[in-house]
Amino acid sequence: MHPATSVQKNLGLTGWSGHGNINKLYTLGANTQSILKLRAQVYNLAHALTGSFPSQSMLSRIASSPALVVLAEDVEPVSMILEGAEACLHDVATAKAAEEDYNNLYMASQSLTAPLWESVYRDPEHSFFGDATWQVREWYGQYNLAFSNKDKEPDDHITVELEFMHYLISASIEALARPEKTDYARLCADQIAFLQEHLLQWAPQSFSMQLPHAKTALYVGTARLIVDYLPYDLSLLISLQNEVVQ
Amino acid sequence: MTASAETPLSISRRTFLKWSAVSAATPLLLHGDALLQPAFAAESANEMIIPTTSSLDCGGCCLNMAHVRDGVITRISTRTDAALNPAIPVMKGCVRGRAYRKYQYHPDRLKYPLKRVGKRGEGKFERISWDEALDITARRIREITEKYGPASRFPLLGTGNDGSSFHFPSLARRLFNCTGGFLPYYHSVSSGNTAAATSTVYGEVTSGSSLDTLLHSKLIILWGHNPVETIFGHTNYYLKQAKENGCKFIVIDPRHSDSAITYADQWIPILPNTDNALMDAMAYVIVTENLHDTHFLDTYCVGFDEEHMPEGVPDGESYLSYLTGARDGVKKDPAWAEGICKVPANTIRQLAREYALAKPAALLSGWGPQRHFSGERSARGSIMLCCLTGNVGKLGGWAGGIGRISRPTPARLPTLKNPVPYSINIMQWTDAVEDYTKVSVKEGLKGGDNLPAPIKMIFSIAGNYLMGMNPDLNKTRKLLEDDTKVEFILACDLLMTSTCQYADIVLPSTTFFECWDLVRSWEYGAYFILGQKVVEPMFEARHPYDWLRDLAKRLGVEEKFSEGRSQEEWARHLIDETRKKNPRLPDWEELKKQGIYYFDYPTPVIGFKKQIDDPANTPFKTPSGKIELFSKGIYARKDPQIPATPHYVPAWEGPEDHPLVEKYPFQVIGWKGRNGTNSCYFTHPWLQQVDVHTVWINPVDAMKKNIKQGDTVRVFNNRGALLIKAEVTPRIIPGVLAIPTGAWYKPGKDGTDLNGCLNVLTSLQKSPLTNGNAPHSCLADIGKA
Repeated sequence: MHPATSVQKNLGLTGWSGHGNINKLYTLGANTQSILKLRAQVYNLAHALTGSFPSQSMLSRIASSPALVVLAEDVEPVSMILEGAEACLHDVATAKAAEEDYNNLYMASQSLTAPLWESVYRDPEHSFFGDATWQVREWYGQYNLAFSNKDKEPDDHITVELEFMHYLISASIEALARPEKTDYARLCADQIAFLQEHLLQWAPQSFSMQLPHAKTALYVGTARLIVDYLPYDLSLLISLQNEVVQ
Repeated sequence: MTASAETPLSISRRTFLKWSAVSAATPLLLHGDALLQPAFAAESANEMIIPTTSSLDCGGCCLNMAHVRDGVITRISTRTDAALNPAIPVMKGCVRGRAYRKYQYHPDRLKYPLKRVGKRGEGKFERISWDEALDITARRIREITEKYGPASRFPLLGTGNDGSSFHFPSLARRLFNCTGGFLPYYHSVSSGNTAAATSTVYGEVTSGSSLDTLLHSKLIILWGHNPVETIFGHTNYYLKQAKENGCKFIVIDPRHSDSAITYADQWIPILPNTDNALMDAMAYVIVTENLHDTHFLDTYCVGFDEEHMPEGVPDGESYLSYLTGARDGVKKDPAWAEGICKVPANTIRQLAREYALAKPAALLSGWGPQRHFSGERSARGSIMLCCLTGNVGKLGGWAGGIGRISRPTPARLPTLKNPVPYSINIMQWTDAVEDYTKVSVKEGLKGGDNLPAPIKMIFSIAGNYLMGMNPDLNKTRKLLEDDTKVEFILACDLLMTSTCQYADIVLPSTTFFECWDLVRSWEYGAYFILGQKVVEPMFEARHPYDWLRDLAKRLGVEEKFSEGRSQEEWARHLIDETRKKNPRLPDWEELKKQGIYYFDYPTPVIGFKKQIDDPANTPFKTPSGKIELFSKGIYARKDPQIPATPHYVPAWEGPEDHPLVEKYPFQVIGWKGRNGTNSCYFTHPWLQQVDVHTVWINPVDAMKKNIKQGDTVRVFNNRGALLIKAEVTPRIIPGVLAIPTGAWYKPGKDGTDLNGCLNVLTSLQKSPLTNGNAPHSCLADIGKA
């Protein structure tokens, strides 16, 4: 059995129509870089949709992205997002409903159904700026990164953590191209650790809570993407790490 | 998250992280400019401990320490025992203060300016920029002012994190005063009734003494006074010492409060609105047993007996004539009172004797009883008892009434002169919305015979009064839902309160950790604490001064409003101004280190000591120069609800308000719990665990209504209904339901309030003497939901 499929099975992933293209790419062996780029793309998409309500041009780019169209064939949440983006572009009422959805789910004009910060879930005080916030701040610091608004907002918002994962993937693509694979291996290990220690500790739970309250395809898709993809991404990473070891 | 003008799919165009080490590893979808930022500089992770305080509408003004690391408050500690100044004790943080970090970092903090997008009150908002919010606000101010004039602009009171020397609502008043003025209100909803009543007897409101005088008391009666839960300045510091000294405590309250638990040797439960019946019977016992201080009454008072009445008043109008039944044939003896107030006659006799014989004795009236329709009468009655026993002007005694004293305070940011000549009683604001032509002088309008315009704009800054603490919220809601009446409502707060839900523009405010202030102590203290800005405002929160300054710029009055000063520069200026009267006040840097400044003041202060020691040269500030147990001014009103002597009258929505009491047989009262500061902490999870929001009902009543502990019950009257869990407890007198104040209004589909908000039941009825608030005169019924 293919390692990725094995992990997928062991994780008991549901609501995921299949991982054909990713697995196909993996099967092609030498195409690790493509897998990394696809992974980056998924984080990229989730980052874009959670960070703010997308502009028309952003919706247009999402809807017309060849890579996402390929992913959508097998990844149902991506398919929903593309349909949602397409509908928003062509129907003002749908776009308005999606924006209202975003405001309700992400913008905290009211008490959020599912808060978007890690420490709210994991800290015993369920507040901003708990231990998890300090830990992710340290993670960013290890890569000479800092959240630009850290004096005013907690560093462990979903979008910032997704962006950090994207950063690590981007760096790993670069490291993969170099003959020496130590950096690449370390970046893979750090992605696994960050996922295990942080994102997977709260994000699937948060977006599972959010999911019943999402009303439009764009945000049902986004929530499902995070709930389903993050555990799967861990399985992919473990496969990639094993590949390096071998 | 921080919005950017354009958000491309390329995450490298986002600014959440500053990249420092990535080169051209461009994933598939990325196209657009890569904005790679230089590396951030590592910051010191050393913890700083900064003395500061809160500027909530809380009696504590405690010296708290903010522990700050890398721009984040990591914990709160409070004054240590070693740091106590026994001459001017400063309180330590209680459960509320210890929960400030949770409050600061509450995930529901308002984060961005919001604009209403649904119907008013529907709760639909969208995020907008500060520029858009202030542009809209400036436009609405111009439009409404042009059409209706400045008297249509109504800045409401603050009840939350409303500042001290930078009093947030007053900052809006300052802006309005720069642009033509506003409609002001008068009358404190906290203590306005007793303030007015106290003035009718003493001619002034400073009827209190410094609390150290209580260490000389032999007996302290807490009459509807609950400092353990409300934290009333440093009252508890002295009451605890008095208790340790062996002073006896009696608590008179419908509810067995935490103050009763803490201090009381005896709890005397009483029906609300019947305090004067108990007072009358106590007076009857004291007089008939010749325990009263005739020298005091004869020397300092008018109105007690027929021999000491003002000129021109017919016979039989003295208080004594009322007591003995000479006026109406009814002796106001303990048996008579027992039937009204439900305090057993023997208990009344014992209480009266103890109070009259303990010399000196202090009768401390709380501010809860005066928020009843009978509140002005009971405030005056408390003074009568203090006079009857000669406890006024004596060390260890107390003069009753409001109990306010005058203490030095720091300078505050001035509100400037209001060109609008009118003012209304706070209880008239809904009238001024509904039909301004009916706002009458008789009910409190000042400055003219009629208002020139309705209220068309409301600014609610740092307060949940509008749709949380105002009485009769269902009526208020209907008024506000019609946005052709009040055309523009702005709310500025920390959380999406029920008031914010009814605003058109909602602005995120700063906490006391995010701004500067000179925070004065309540009533009896004589110090201020420099409220320090220890962290940056969260998300896009802004101090009201800052956004009002930007609003002033849009209205062309920025220079007049700001005088060129930032918020911190104003704080420094106010320190300089305070130093002019207090040369010992250290400079800014030193004050930041020590946190607190103690004013010079003589101690102890004994209310009315000068008048008592030297009556010939120091008259009271009343028309007669004496303590007016009979008020000619009140007598001239001929209003049976507010008699010239302070005696019992059956109250509107009291236990004798027939036939309404047959339909709604329970009196409903509120109380301020230890877990709340007005309505600030209703969504604070820790503090809601400190005391669960329940209705207290006596087991006798619960049995009649088949209500069991923990049942969800419906409390209702003709104004509204609420759902709440029942606390079946003997800690409340039969016939009374007690519900904590502070719940956020949350009407369900059928209008029943789902949060247990007391103010769906309370009334806008105005009190008889001063047209004040009487929300706790309230009849209702209860049943299982």
